[in-house]
Amino acid sequence: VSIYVDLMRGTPGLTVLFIIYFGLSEFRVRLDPFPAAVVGLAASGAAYTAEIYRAGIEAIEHGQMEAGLAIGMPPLSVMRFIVLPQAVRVIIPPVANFGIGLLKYSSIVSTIGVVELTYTGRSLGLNTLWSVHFMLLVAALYLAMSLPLAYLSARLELRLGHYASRA
Amino acid sequence: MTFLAVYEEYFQIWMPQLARASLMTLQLAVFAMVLSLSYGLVIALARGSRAALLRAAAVSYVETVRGIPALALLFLIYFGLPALEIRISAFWATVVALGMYGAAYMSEIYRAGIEAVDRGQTEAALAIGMSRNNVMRFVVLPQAIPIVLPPTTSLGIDILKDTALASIIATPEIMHRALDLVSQYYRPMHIYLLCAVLYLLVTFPMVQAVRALEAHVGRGRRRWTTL
Repeated sequence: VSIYVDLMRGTPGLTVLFIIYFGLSEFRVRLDPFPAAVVGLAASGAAYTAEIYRAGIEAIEHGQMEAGLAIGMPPLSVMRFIVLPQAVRVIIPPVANFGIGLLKYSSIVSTIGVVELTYTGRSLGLNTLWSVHFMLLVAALYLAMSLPLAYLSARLELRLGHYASRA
Repeated sequence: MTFLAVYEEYFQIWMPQLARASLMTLQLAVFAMVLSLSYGLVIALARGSRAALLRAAAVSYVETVRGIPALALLFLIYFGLPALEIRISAFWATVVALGMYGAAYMSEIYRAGIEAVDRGQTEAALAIGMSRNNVMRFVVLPQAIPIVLPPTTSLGIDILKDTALASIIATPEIMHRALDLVSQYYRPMHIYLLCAVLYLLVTFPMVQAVRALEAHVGRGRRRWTTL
C-alpha cells in the first residue's frame, strides 16, 4: 500500500490518465473517455485520501486505543467504535479541501475528450475566436463552484474545531 | 512480441528523446518554483501587513487562484493574453501560470509557518525595541523556515507534476514528447509507463525528503514541549 501511495503521489494525474485511457487500448481494452476519467482521477486521488486517513487515525491519542484493548475489546471494534469516530472529525476538513482540489483537477480530463467545462470553454473559444472571454467565463464558473465549497469547509472546520477543543 | 521485448527493441530510441524532454520538465518546474517562492512570500507579507487594501488584495488573489484549475489559468494566459496583444511562448506561459498558481499556495504555507512561531517571540523582540521589519526578518522568519520546509517540498512535487499540463499547449516536455512517440510507434502503454518512471525518478526522492523533514521537524517540536 505504501508503494501504491508513493507511486501515485509521484506521478502526474495526466500520466495516470493517459496510461489508463491510451495505454489500455494497446491491449484492445477500450474505455470510454468518461469512465477512464473517473478511474484515472480516483486512482490518483485515493493515494492522497489514504494519507489523510492515516494522519487522522494517527492523530488520535494512542492511549485511547490501549484503553479499548485493555478493557477487552477486539482490535477491530476498537478501530470502529473508538478510533474512527474521533478520527472522522480530524479527517473531514482536509477531505473537503481535497474534494475542491479534485473538482479543479477534473479539468485535465478535457485532454482525453470528456466534454466538461474546460473542454467546452476551449472549443467555444476556438470556434468563435473569443478565447479570453470564454476562458474567463470558465474560470468564473469554477470559482462559482469552489468558493461555496471552500466556505462550507471553513465553517465545518470551525465547528469541528469547537468539538475538538472541548474534548 | 511480449511486453518486455518491446522495450528491448525501442528503449534505445525512446529513452534519449524522453530524457531530453525531462530536462525541459525540470526547467519548467524550477522556474515555476522560484516564482512561487518569491511571489508567494510577497503575498504572505501583504496578507500580514497593516494596510487593509494590501491585505484585501492578497486575500482575493489567493482565493481566486485557489478556486480555478491550473489548466484554466494556463489557457487564460496562453490563449487569452494574445487577445490583449501580449505574445508569450508556451514555455513562459507555463512558468507564469504554474508560478501564479504555486504562489497562492506558497503564501498560505508561509502564513501557516509565520503563525506557528509563538507570538511571545514577536512581542519580546518588539519589547526590546526592534523594528517590525527586523522582527520579521531576524526573529520570525528564521524560525518559520524549518516548519515551512516539508510543505514547500510537497508543493515542489505538485508543481513538477503539474508541468505535465504544459504538454497540452505543446511545450516540448515529457508528456508532449511521449504523445509524439505514441503517434509514431503506437505503444501508448509502454511509452506512458516510461514517462511515469521518469517522473518518479525525480519525485520519489523528494517524497522521501518530505518524510525525513517531517520527522525531523516533529522531533524538534517534541523537544520544545519537554523543556
